[in-house]
Amino acid sequence: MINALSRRSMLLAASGGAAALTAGGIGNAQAQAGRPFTWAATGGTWGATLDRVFVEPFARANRLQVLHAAQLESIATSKLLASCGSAPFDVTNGPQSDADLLNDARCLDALDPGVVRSLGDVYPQALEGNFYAAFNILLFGMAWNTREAAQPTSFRDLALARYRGRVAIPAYGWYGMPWLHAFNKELGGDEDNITPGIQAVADIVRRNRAVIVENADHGSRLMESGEVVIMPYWNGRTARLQAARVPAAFELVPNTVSVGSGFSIPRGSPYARQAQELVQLTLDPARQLEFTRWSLYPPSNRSVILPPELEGIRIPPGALERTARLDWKKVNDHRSRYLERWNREVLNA
Amino acid sequence: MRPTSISSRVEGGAPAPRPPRGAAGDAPSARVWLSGPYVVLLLVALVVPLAHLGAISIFTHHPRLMFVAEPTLENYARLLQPYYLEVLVRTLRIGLVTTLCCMVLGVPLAYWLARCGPTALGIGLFLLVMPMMVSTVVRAFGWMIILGRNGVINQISVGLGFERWLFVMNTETAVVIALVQICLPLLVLPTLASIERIPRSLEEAAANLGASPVQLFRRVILPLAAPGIASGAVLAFLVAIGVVVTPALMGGRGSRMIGNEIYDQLITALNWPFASAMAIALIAIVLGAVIASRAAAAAAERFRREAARRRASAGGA
Amino acid sequence: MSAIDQMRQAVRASLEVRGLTKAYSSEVSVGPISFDVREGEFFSLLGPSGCGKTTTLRCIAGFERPTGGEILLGGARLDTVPAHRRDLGLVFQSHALFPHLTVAENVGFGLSVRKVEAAERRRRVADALALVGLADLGSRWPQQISGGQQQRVALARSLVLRPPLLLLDEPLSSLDLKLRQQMREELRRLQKQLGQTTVFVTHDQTEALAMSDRLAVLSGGRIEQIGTPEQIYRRPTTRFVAGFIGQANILDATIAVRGDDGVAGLRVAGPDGVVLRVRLGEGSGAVPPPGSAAAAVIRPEDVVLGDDGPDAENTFRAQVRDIEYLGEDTQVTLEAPGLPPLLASFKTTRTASARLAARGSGTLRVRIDAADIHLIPG
Repeated sequence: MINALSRRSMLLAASGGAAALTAGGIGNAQAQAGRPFTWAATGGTWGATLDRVFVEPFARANRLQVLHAAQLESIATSKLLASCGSAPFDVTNGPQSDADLLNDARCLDALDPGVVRSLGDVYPQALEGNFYAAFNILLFGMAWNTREAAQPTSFRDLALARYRGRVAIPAYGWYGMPWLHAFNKELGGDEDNITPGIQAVADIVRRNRAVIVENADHGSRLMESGEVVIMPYWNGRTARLQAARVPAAFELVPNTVSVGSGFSIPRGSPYARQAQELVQLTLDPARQLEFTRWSLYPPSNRSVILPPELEGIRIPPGALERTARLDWKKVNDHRSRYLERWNREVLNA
Repeated sequence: MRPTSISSRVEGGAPAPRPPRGAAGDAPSARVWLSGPYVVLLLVALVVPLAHLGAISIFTHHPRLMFVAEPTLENYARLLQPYYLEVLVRTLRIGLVTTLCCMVLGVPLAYWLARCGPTALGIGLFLLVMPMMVSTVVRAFGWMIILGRNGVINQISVGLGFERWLFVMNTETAVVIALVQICLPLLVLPTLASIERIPRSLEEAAANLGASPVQLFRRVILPLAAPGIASGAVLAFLVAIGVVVTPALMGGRGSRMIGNEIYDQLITALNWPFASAMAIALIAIVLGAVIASRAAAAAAERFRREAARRRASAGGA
Repeated sequence: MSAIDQMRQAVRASLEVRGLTKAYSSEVSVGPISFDVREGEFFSLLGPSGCGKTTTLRCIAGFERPTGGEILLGGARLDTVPAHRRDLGLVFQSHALFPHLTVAENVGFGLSVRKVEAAERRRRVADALALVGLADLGSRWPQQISGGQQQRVALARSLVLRPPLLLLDEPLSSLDLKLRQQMREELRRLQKQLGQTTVFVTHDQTEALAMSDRLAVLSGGRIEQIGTPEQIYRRPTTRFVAGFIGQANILDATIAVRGDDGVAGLRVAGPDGVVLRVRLGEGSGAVPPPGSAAAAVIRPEDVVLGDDGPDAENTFRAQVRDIEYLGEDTQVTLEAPGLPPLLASFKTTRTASARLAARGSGTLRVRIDAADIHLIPG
């Protein structure tokens, strides 16, 4: 867009001017950018812990002023799409699907292996092209109540008649979209043929009167209160339920969604070099372990040795191979159409 | 004294007296300049973004680039699918029911506020307006606490030895309840203003002429407050059909409104062209509602005048 | 039967107000007020603002709930009936025409809420409009007609219902002087023609005196005096009435001598106060005993100037302090030994003016007829 172009060129001109002014001096990136180093991530405890574990040490080390642009990941993604090349953020935290979308739109910078040195230690499932590396493994499998439900073997268990009225599924706008694709694969569909998945989910909603989970906290409340005894949910969140003595367990059923959370670097950031350093920091074993202690999501760096008390969240060897292999590009291509089908066929079921 | 809004509406044949003009208003050029900042604001804050929105709405959706500038009517054609028509009908239904409930509750409330003492008016206005400062999310949570399965009402009911009986959460009714609370002040405030302009002597005259309180309300207050009620109702309707949070939190999975669809297409699906087409459709409906209400008011007034003239001439006066 | 005859039948009822009180607060209250209005009578409540006249009217109309006392119309309790069932006519100072209704609809409003059938309603509206001389204006809007016409519409709107009692709340005070006089006559003509029992509230004494069969003068929430205009003017019973109605010289005095047939000698207060001879007429009561305090009320027009006749009772020589030409009348302020300053007035005729001019720098002979001095309690 003309608008974006002009804004970008103005930004370039401005930074160029500033660089010229400070050419003989220290050449501080802060002065060139005209804004603090800005990182986009969701707010709440997640954002606060990202800040404590990763961003604060990074800011100290680089003597940078930083700003947390707190917003839903999907909102940050749409802002980045709208301002491709002159992004208002210098890094953005989100799942693979969003990073893939941004990369396809050529709105991301590639990670520089010279700076992001730990790429090789990371599980391949946590990597996406050369532009994204998750710092932990987020598995969206099945959470179940160990007293009132049986250990699940598949997402299909949501349709079991004995769970009627006590199951839940994720909202499309939360993690329903990747889960729908994963479940769809389990049922023999693929990214271009979503019908088996849609029909099965609609069936679960209609027959088993599934609750629609709007966000992670909502899901935890449903499990805590016993209102729901089985639902697709996060490994880390389930581990935290266990820590809170809720009789819950996580099952890595076939076609569990593996997403992870990571930082990617929008193209055109005035802090491009610092952003690479931040991504490297998120792959640092010590930092990852620190984050895992809070989130209870396994680290993405295979070299991290989990202490005994975290043994329970360790990913069994070969488990990640059982996760769904989703073609994010296709998933993104169908975002809008499948949302419509979801609203029409699942929510109206 | 005659309320000004009424007189300008009723004056009809006789030219309404022009308001006196200030010295600055005497030169036409000065008047044009004075409206300059408003025109600029209107252009920057309304016309340009709207044009942008309209342009995107006819662009082709692209999953990665958001949209490409290839004109298409597909986004609008998609709106004609039964699902979206259903959402549209539901949105308008919720808007109308909400507006009607606001009128039934709000007009008597506005009358009472207009005629009570200054202390009661102050307290009443405070109670009416204060919730507007609380976010709709918080208000929706408040309703959940009251109306939910394990909400206050059901708990009291169980505590008294009865069954749970209120299962209104996650239904269209719950959406309307929350929306009425949101929209009520929007209807009451303009209605209050127009009732305050009705001289009390008109009410006394009507009572003296034998009008019962109901007749008084119907034949004097309602027609004279009609402009205020109408503008309040339009406001309430417009806000009611544009909400996102309330149906998401109060309604069930089957009470989605057009605002939810726009939000989802914009934020979840990143389909800006389709979201823009829905937004344009919503704006068109809103404009249509405003124009229709104006036209209806004008037609009703014309009809009433015509009838009055016919009756007068038939009376052989 | 003509329309007016039909109206006449309905519009006669007597009104009794008995011990009416209305307390607004411990300091502000009205009453007790008692008066009767006879069938077909034009009765005025006259007084300055805040005297309670409007409160009384609003109690009769039903807009205020009396604290005590009762109101009877044609012998039946009225104060327990809600305002909209009292069937009284009321014309407001502001006219209170409905701006959203035409003139004809305004007049027909009361018939319409009573569900009077349309043809009958049209006929009666037309009659009522003809009665007030606005037969052609039925299709106009209230904003399109003059203030005087609005006043007539308001009147027609009440009269069309043939009310047993018509209440008029300062209906003329929003009109200009010329129009006011014209409406005054018209209102009175109409009232007489219909025999309409009417209660008229006003602060304008000229209006009250000119129009009323009888009137009550109110002050501070109480009735001071009830009587015909002539009684109120010539024989005020209180100092307030004497001072409020027209102009009056009020002389504090004591009764010096009491003779027969209402004749008395009155010593005016103050050093060297003169003794005035008083002859009370019929209906003025008895002379109080000698030594009791009294006040003499002397209307300015009863102070006769430059009378050259033989020395008679109450004749003084006075000096002219001030002359005021008021057009038709001339007012002079006089000073005489043994008397407070006296106000005198006379018609500005050629002879009277000549007489005043002829006094030169000297004094003027002044005479007051003993029968023109009225006594009120001191």
